[in-house]
Amino acid sequence: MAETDRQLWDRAVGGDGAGFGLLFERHARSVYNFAFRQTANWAAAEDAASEVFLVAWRRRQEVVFTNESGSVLPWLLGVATNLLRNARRGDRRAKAAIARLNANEAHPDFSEDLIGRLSDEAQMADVLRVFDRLPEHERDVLALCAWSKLEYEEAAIALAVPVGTVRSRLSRARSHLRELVETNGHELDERTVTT
Amino acid sequence: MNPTLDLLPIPAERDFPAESLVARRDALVMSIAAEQQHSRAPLRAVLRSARSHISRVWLALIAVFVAVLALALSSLSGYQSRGGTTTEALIAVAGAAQIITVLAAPATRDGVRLGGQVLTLRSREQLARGVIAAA
Repeated sequence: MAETDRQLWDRAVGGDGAGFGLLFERHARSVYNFAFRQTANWAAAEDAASEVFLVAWRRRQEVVFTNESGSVLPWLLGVATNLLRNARRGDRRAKAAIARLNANEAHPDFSEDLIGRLSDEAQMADVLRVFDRLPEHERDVLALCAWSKLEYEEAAIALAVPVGTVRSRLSRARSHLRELVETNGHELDERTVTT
Repeated sequence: MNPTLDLLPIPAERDFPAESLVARRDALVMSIAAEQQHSRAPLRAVLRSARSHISRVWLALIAVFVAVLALALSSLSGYQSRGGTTTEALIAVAGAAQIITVLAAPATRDGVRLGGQVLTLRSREQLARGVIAAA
């Protein structure tokens, strides 16, 4: 039987780095996709996923596992949320410089996979343009519950707030999103069609 | 989940790139191993410091005891001969010197260095030898 997250975590804290490596293999995909949905950039998401695990290790005293499955994933996504939020608040000029650098370094590769990734990034960037108009805490709860499919209790662990707060934020987020879509419906439809 | 979200379709999930998964995992494991190693070093320093501090305190207490004993003997034996008073004075001086020596002794990995020996609480003999050497 596979070891639980808690067992692997204990192994890692006890000095067995391989335990943490197994946790990385287990949850890297979820964290990677979560990070992509916050950045609209697959390469940045890959870096962010590694960073999330490193930060999680440094904050290992604060780790929280889910009650039922003993999964560490919700907490990891919480770490990712904070990390990516701080990155978003970072210096815009630095980000622009990095973007220019990346653009200059990009080598043309017309493989199917690359085209698919670029298409993903464009589509996600459009979605984020709408999402960014939501208050930060509503955006976070939507990203966790709607996109990463966390249960309310799991999102509560990720955001370190009570379950009731998750419910109310999610409800408000849906209302705000509905208003945004109605207000910008034409614009959104055009984007959806083009992507 | 929500019809509104259907208006904002997001790309399908992708696997973490296989070619970098192993490399990133190994780099992560190496990083945390290095951090663990690094975090243990200060812990060792704290333990070492605590151990030398304890040794220092014990030696100082013994020295204080010797000094107090000498002073007590001196005050209780006003009728003693001149030779007896000299002995008590010597003991008092030795006790004071011992206090100064112990407090000024450099800390080492296991305790304090005194009289050419490293004194630890783990070795009563060592402690006794050190006290004698200092006195």
